[in-house]
Amino acid sequence: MFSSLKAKMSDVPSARTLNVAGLSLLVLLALTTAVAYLPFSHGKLIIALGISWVKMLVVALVFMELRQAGKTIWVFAIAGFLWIAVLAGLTLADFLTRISPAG
Amino acid sequence: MPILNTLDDQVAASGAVGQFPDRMEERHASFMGMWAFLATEMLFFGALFTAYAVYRIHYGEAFTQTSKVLSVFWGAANTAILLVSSLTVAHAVRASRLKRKAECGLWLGTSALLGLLFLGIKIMEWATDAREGHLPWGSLGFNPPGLHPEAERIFLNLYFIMTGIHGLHLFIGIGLLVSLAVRMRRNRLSDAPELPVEIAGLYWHFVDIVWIFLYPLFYLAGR
Repeated sequence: MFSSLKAKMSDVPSARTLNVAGLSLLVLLALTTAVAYLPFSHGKLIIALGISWVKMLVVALVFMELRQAGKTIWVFAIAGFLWIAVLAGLTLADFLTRISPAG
Repeated sequence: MPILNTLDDQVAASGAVGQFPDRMEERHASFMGMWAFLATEMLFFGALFTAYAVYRIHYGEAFTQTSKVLSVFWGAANTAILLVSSLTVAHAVRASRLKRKAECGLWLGTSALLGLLFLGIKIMEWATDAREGHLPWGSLGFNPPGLHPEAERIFLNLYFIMTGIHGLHLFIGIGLLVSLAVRMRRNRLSDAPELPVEIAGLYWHFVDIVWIFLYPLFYLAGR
């Protein structure tokens, strides 16, 4: 496991790969901002957040090198999301199902 | 065969690094430790994002109205600055692996400058908010922008707390990059100078990702 980690993590990414990722992030930023000005009101924030997820994946996979990372690193990255899902899921399960006594 | 006089000699001859048997294991432990730390940071910010979700569901209208007091131009400009800084940090990591120390220092310095530019714009925005009475705290002359002062207070509280904590993280990141650039210049890093650059890079990218979500939630929510 260690030898594969070294071989993969020490790989030098090409400058081109990095620049393409950086440029695509700026294009996605322009897209996020443009969507906000579309002439309808519902769902725009959901689209903007969806694009933000794509941006996050570009940063995590290319710049943070999750693509080449070993399994143990993936476990920590996924664990972070899982615990947020538990935190947000249980919190919203409470708030979204509360019934006001006043009706 | 060399004579290994002291324990230090024996450790050096074995290829050990500090408490690690070799560089590879040091690398493995460092990456895993940093990702474990980032997972706790995800939870820290996750709690704040969850708070935003709860209040947004309750006070959707007030949130979209209050969001309009923020400048999309400056929000977008700052997002672009942070995204470019992530690219320059990625180049710093690349240069460090190629053992190009001068180039690495240059990329680190550029990234730190971009971080400072971000903070400068943010402080300017906060100052404008303060002048216009958007600080949501009691004695500071809060001037509610809409018809739901309590919900607007909550939005602005979340805005100042989340961008403030993000700014603090960025400030720490700038300190890390500057200290690395200086130590790189003075040749004070070990014979594996790429490792601290890579680890600081992971932190910087994480702080960038947090902003990627703050931007639409606060600046674009009302458009």
